[in-house]
Amino acid sequence: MESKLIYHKRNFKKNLPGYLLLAPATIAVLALSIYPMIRGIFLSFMNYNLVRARGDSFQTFAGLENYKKIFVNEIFLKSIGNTIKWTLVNLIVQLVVAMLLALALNQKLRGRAAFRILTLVPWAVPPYIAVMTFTFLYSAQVGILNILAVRLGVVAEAVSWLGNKGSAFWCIVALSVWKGMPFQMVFILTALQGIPGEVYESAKIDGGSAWQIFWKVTLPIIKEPLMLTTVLNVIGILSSFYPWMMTEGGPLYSTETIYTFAYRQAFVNHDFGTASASAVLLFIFTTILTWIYLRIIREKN
Amino acid sequence: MTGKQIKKSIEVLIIYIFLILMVLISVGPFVYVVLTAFKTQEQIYDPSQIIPTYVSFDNFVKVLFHSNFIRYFINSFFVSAVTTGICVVLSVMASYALSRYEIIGADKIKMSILMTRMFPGVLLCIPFYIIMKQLNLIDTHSGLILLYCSFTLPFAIWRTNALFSGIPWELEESARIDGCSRLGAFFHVIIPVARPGLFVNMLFCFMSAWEEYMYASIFINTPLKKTIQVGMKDFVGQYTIEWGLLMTAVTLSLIPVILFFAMVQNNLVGGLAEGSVKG
Amino acid sequence: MKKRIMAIALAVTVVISMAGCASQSGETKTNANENSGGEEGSGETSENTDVAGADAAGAVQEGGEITMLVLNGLVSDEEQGIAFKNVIDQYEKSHPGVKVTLQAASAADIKQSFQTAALAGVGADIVMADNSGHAIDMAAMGLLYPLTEITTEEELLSLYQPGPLNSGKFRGEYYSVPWYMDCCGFYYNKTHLEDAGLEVPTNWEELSNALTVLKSKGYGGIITYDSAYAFYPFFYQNGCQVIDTSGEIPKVVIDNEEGKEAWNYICNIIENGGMVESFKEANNWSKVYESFANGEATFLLGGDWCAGAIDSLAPDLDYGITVMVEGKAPATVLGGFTWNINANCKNPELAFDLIQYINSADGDEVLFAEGKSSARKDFDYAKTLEGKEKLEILTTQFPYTMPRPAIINEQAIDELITNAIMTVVYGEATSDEALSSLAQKINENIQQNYQ
Repeated sequence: MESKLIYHKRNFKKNLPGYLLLAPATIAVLALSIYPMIRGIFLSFMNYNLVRARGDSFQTFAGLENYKKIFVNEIFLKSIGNTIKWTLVNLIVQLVVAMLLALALNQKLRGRAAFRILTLVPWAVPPYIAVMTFTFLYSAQVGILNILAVRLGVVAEAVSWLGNKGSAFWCIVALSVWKGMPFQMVFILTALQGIPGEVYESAKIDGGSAWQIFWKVTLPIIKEPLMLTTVLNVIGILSSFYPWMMTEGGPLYSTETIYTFAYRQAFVNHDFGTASASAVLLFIFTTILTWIYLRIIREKN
Repeated sequence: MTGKQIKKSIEVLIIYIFLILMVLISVGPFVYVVLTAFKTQEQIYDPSQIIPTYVSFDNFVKVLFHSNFIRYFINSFFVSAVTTGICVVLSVMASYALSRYEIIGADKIKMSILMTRMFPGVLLCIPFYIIMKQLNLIDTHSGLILLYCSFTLPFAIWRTNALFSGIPWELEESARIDGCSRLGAFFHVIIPVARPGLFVNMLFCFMSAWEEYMYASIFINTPLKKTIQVGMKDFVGQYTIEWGLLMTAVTLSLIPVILFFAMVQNNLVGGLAEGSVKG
Repeated sequence: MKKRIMAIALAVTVVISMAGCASQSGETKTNANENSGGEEGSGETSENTDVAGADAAGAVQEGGEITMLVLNGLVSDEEQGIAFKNVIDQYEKSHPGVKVTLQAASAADIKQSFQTAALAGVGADIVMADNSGHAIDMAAMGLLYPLTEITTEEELLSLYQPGPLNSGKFRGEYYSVPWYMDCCGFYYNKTHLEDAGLEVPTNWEELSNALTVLKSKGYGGIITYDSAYAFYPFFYQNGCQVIDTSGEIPKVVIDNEEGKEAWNYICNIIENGGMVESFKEANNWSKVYESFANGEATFLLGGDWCAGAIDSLAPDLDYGITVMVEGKAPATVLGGFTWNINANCKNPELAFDLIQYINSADGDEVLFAEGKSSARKDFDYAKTLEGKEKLEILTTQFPYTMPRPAIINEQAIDELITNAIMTVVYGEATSDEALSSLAQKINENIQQNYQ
């Protein structure tokens, strides 16, 4: 259909206002970020161990040396598995819980506003404070979790949940889900709110069950915002700092992710070469995921 | 008929139980934070004082009148509000351009903007510091605002763009036929329809800037310029933590955030659901 | 209408922020310009070092500006903050033309904050550093100004305790002026000991015995920070330096005869359940006090700062403090802070003069306010420990207090040692396996960081 508003393809002059509108944001983001990023990628190919700043090899070209180094580093290899586990668990749990909560909060209920605000509270608690509070709840000495677990007979005597290899990971996941879920929920809720009531009415008249309505009506409508928020969420989860804040990747690297590994290399070992190399790998990993998402969206259109 | 009603009320009951459970989980740790704010240092580690039997407002007095808390609060509010303002305006402009004009290489621009957020932030400290040094923005709030914008804008643009792309052309067109200018159509049609999403976006930008710690701790050194997240560390010594004061500061700092939540909550309804167009 | 108002409000915020940018960047311009001269400055001064003594006074009289990056507590309304401000004011008064600007960071951030700035060629002129190897890292990165350019080794040695001074010695050069120090002591729960009919253990053997008896009575053993900190004394007392940093390249000696003996002793304690459960998660000191104050642990290994924390958590707890259990020779491990001068500093003489002033008796009121002990040899401990007489016994250990190995990336080494201990705690390795793998890992780390 011809429209007054649709401008002709590749007509630069007619689209000029568009370029002008786009320019400030694009320039602001790229001008600030391009140099640091390129420098980061560049450093991954350099000998850049800061504590060897006086050595001869400092700031010389290293080829793929840094990449080779991290691939024989057992901590890094361990962190790959942890990262995948961390991302999958976080993503799935956050998505499912956020979806259920958004669906529930989309119903016409008494006290809906209060429910909505209260479930957003974790988002408002600053990360550092959230970490301190959860650490306290898990405490082997005075933690609620231990008091309950002992009383219910799950464990015989108080256990250090954060100090043991098996449980530490899940403790941090719980924190991360608690903190990250509210935003997913609001975003999905916004999408749900955008669905006109009539759509449901007609679906109900057709006699679908709630489950069917969700799969056949709701999900297809909110699919696109859902996928977008998933991708942006994955980026956030991959660069989550909680494992470092809570246990510094420990005990015995059982909560080390690629992100905390990069941090460790940079600020504990002062080796920005290998830190950048692991950052670049994480970057490539994220890019591929995003690219897959864009492919799916484009195919659909 | 009655069977259906029973089924319906069971459904509602399940929803309520689920919601109450979620609220408990969400608010539980927060309640602990608030309770701690009223405790003295010895009460904090005393299991019998999980709910304090005597409360003290000393912490509140100390945080409000004998620390830099209010100053940090204003700093953070200023930085976050300006970041939000800039991000929302710029992302709306950019998203309108991306969804309503034919931009050559639009996908590539979008992708490259997003890619800036995929590189781990911890490694960007030193180059950012060098840039800020060149711009003479070290130890200034403007520098921090600029940095925060570069972090939040990519996400803001993507979300706003998704929002605008979902609004049918016909809406704008009918407004134009009714005699609106392009700008008028934008303000009268697009903005109202996208309002809930824009509010969520605002909230996201605000919270990202409000919560940020690492860059604020590295780029701001003058004590009175600190943001609230860094300022809270005043109550955390190398070997001791003044839990009561820390949690009081957190509790106070949450008040505006929760008010903001309430405001967003009120604006979640709207857009297409208001019935301006069907389907 | 509403939308219009919103749009206008947004526009206004943008305009305000732009104005804010303009005015603020104006202010900072002067600062940055002054700082950018720093690099040349340090080059110049290092040339006329031989006349440093005479010149220093001259440079000081001319005046100048000094920025100091200190811990948060020193820039606060607390007692020590007020005292510190007093001292700085006095210095400015007695040195007309000198302006001191204070910056502050938390203990957790101060190193990274300084490091980032200094790597970008700016940063505070004087920075406070934890004496657990922070200065060594910064010196290795070339961020610190060598002290023998301004003063002499003899002078430093005559003024300060050897431990803290050596904590800033890298490749034969001194980089840190010690300020205050503490040492790891031995805290014990009197009630537990009385109940178990035990005396306070004074040597290794007594400690092992006490732990066994306590366990049989249902009491917990030792709590300490989840790091290598409190384990160093066992090596030092047995004559093992853990890592010998006297040569050009550090040598790992943790697995020599003495080291093995100390290691096996530690592992023996762990294997017999001598560490309490909370030790596994004690990655901040609060957890340590929590465990001791609640009576989970009977012994606590830590510095003088623990006393205040325990008192505030459990005012009624009956506990005592003494020196670390003794081995072959008296020794314990160091804590505390030092002053360091930025390599970008354009007036290192003035910076050093200011440090000397703060460190002298003129600046002692800051330490009295916090109850800290100066690393100066002629310090009046009685005054700083007023009301904390319990702690006085720890000051007798100062001459035997040794820093953690002055090695690049001490934090990484500490982590390796801690992890080796943890593998024993989890029962994943025997003490011998853990030690040989540890020695190998430390060697690899050293190889990476030294030529």
